[in-house]
Amino acid sequence: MRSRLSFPWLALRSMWLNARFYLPYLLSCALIVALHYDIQFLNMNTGTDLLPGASSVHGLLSVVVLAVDFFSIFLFVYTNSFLMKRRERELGLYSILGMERRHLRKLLRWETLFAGVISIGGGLLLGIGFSQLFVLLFRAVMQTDVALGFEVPKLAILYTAFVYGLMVLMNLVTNLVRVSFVRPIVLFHTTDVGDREPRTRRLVAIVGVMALGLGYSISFFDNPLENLGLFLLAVLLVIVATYCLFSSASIAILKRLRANASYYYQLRHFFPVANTLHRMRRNATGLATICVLSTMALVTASTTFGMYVGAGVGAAWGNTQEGRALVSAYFFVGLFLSILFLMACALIVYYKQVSEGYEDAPCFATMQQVGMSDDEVDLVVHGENSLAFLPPLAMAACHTLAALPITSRILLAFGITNMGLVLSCTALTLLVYGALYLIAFRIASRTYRRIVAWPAADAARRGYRTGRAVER
Amino acid sequence: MALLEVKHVKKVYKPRLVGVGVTALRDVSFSVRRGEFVAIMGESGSGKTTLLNILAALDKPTSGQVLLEGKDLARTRERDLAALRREHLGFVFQDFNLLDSLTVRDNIFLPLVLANVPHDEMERRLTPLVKTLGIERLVDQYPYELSGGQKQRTAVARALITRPSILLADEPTGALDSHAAESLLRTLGRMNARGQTVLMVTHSTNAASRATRVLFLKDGRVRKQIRRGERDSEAFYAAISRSLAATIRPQRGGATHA
Ligand SMILES: Nc1ncnc2c1ncn2[C@@H]1O[C@H](COP(=O)(O)OP(=O)(O)O)[C@@H](O)[C@H]1O
Ligand SMILES: [Mg+2]
Repeated sequence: MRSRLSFPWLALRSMWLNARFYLPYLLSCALIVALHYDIQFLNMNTGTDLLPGASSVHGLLSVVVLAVDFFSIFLFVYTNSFLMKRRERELGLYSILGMERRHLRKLLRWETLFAGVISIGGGLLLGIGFSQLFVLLFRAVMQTDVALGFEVPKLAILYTAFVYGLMVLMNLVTNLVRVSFVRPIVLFHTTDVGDREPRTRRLVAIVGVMALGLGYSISFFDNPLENLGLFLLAVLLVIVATYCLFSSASIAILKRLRANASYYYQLRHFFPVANTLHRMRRNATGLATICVLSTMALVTASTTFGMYVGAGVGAAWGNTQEGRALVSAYFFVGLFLSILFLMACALIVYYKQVSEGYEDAPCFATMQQVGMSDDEVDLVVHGENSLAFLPPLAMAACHTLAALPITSRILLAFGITNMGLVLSCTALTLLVYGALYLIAFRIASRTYRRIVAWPAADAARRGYRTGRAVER
Repeated sequence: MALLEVKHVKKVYKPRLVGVGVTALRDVSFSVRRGEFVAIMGESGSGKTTLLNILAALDKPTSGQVLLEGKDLARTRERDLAALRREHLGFVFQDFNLLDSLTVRDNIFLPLVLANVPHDEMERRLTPLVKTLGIERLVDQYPYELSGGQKQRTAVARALITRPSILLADEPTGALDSHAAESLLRTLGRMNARGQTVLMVTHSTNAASRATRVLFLKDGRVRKQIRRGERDSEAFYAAISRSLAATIRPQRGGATHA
């Protein structure tokens, strides 16, 4: 009988049945892989070597790659834990139906293998497609022949595949350990159990504040073009601080809001505050990732923008033939990275909203059964989204401002000394980015609204919450 | 005037693509007066949940009428239906349907938050209610920390805190062990004795024997009804078993007399 069970087939089938949860997961993983590849594409492009100051460019790009590697770890853990939570009930059911643990492990191994192949392979294709398209568009729009060409650096592919292969492996080990040591009945009930109420973590908050202070202060004296190591340290410190603060300060703030009865017991605050607080530990990773990507987009875009405008306004070399070629090459790099970060951020926002939508759908069904009207659903959805919207953006803006000394030092290397210009470029970038972010959030929230807006009777019958829908 | 009147309700679930629909309810009529405790019995799949969803205006009948306090649900606007649901109906589900992210207290407050009731009024209503239901010491806990019986009591508190005209319960003991079920049924009986109108659907004879009237649902119709009258629960239980044997499970009829 056992020989009849084909595990690869079973794994594919169960991924298909869980497409609703798997698809956003695969998409966000593929996206980060693409992001990683594309930065490596720049870094390893033979055209980059021809740039004056190539070694600085390589250095900065390497820092960015390391930063992406670094937060990919958080992101992979976050998306994986989201996915596994959805899957554990089904795995528990299998084990109650008589699958042994080693069968579950085998199933998970296949699933993870497929997921890894799809997200890494898909991500690489996505990244290659994007880089080629971007070179094409850039040449067409700017009408210049940038040194950077249509290449697909093999080393970039290998490096990316290696890094994310490791991450997939890390998730696999976590998942295997999880099914190995948990009793099946616990697996079965896990979605009901939910997250415990998170504790306020003072130590994490202190670490966060200290890391932030240290990271910010490095910005005031470090010149990244000279001391790359220190720059990398500052970037990593700020990333760590962001994750720490989002997972501690946010909990403290939400608890304070909840303790204020006249605020909390209003419809537009009640469920949003409780629900956001409840899953804040996992949520924090999503918000912090959005913040880090936003910061990267903002810093790159404002630097690029400042350089482009500054060169036009009259930096010494802005008027020569070679000077202009140089500016357009750097402009290419900056624009490429900015768009990349922006898109990655938008998709993470989307992923977060979609996966939380599926998580919240049964809650909205219950609230509708208890007597919530459609308008009130809108109100609550709006309340919940606005809690998630502003904090990452505000923190990213704060990081960007703290990075101003570094930004202006880089621009100084291009002969741009006009601080007023740098400031107004940064301000404008913030405004434009804020608008784009708002649009991305709107789109994601509309999807969230569609997911949670089930007719109440439908939700009641489908027995979504009891997991019957999964086996449908 | 009856509190709830159901007239010739029919419900056909249309197939998604083509083919014949499923007729869950063929022609159901009955009424409930204030203060009654009505149980509707039927086998699994007989349309009990469908019926309750229609009564709670969560779903629309294919034809027929539902009048709640004389008001036709079909002619009520969606927005008013939501208000009606939270002001006149209390709903208790087999699977509790509590929100995991809210404490017991906040789960119970949910309909009041929807109704914009001031916070001190919420607390005023909560205290006696949780005491009656025996969950006063659990109010600051989360649903995952509770047993099934405690969860269902919380759900009952959530249904009753709005002081609804009628409490609708869909197999409220279905997910409980016999001890918890017994104690929940006793609570429902007590609530009814204080004047709370209750309508419960169930396939458990034991649960139905606490009601003042039992309707038997089969093939989408109400086949029979019996009243408790002066009987105690045991005698009523026996009467229900006999009626079940005669109407719903005739093929197995002989066995239940033993
Ligand atoms: N959404 C639906 N679509 C199609 N058929 C349904 C739907 N909901 C219930 N049914 C069918 O209607 C009948 C009655 O279901 P239900 O009201 O859930 O019964 P009960 O609660 O008594 O077990 C069943 O045959 C069931 O398959
Ligand atoms: Mg049912």
